[in-house]
Amino acid sequence: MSVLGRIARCLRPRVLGFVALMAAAGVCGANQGAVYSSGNLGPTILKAPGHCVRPTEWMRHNHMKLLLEERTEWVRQGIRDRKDSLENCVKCHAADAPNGAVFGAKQDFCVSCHNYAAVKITCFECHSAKPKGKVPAFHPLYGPMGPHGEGANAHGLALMMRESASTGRLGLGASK
Amino acid sequence: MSEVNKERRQLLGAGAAVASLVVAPGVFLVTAGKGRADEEAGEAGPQWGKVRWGMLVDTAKCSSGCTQCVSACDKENHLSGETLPTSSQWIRKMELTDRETGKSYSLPMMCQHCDNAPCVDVCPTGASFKRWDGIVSVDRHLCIGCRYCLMACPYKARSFVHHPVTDQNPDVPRGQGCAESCDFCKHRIDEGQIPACVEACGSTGGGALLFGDLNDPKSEISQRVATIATLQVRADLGTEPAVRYEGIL
Repeated sequence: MSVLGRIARCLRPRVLGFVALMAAAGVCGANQGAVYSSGNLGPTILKAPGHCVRPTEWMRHNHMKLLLEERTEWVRQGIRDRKDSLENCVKCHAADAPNGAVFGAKQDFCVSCHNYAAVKITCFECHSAKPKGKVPAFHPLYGPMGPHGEGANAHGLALMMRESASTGRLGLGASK
Repeated sequence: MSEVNKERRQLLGAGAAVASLVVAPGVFLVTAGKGRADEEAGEAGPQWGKVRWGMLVDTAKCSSGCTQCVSACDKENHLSGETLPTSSQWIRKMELTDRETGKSYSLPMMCQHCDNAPCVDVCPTGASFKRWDGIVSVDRHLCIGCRYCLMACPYKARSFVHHPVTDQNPDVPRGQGCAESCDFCKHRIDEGQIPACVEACGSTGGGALLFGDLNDPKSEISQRVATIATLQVRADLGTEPAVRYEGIL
């Protein structure tokens, strides 16, 4: 945890710079159909089908924090029921992409913005940029609704992390 | 005793009572802190030591020509299947021969998911870790590719990814510059399935692999290791592997 926290603190200036850029891009980019652009200034962003796990504006600022906290639960505890996992992001955002991926070509969902903001992401050096196309199930230990499902008493950590993500403090060190 | 002293004693006594009251909520706070860890995990969620996944290999059923487990692993985790010095091998078949008697054995060798894992001990970044259910794995987000764990593992179970990887299984992210090894297909376990090698061995192989929870006394693997003689490879090192072999004593 503390190692992650240190890494997160080191990354913060970059993240803030990115947030500023994305906010500028977001102001221009209104929701105008399947593909919308902010004229000649901003990136062209592919619109995904369905609803995002968070409001678009919030995601523009905080998606990296969400992924950071989610990955820790996913990798180190095996909690795989979170809707805001990278796998689920890919599943939705690659759905309408011409090449069926979120990373690779210039117009892909992740690439278009990160190229515009000059932020290099390394997620897809390891992660698949294409969806697998199956509904995640849960380990029987968690029950049918998973550890965060109805009746489960595991909302504490997730809520704390989500709150800290929205307040700008990464939740990883907040428990101390 | 003077009147002043008496009053002072009474005051100190009252202070002590107040202090104990303060301590009581303090103790409560500590228990609340412990409770939070349980709350994090959920009632049936990750609880350290509740589950210990293990595997039992019956060498009598493992034939020397069969590589179904290796192929299944390669397919599930999108490994190349090559056996070059720079290839990733999460599971490999070993052929052992007793020099004196000439008796030969065939068995699969993979990460032994040690209780006292040397790879976890030596990892400088905390990337190599043991999960709550005993699975030893690599957090690739933290791995810096120093390969210390490759050196530390007495079973040569770890591999290093030398080349860029494409077309990964979405459930098994893996890429260049990280150490990796068998993780008992934890993505499958988390979804209630058994590892790919065990499934393949049971369906198209000899049925030599038995997978289960060593901490559950009712599980088949627990009952078998309790009744027959099994061997942990290099048990003298004290690593307490979760993979056991029968028939090579």
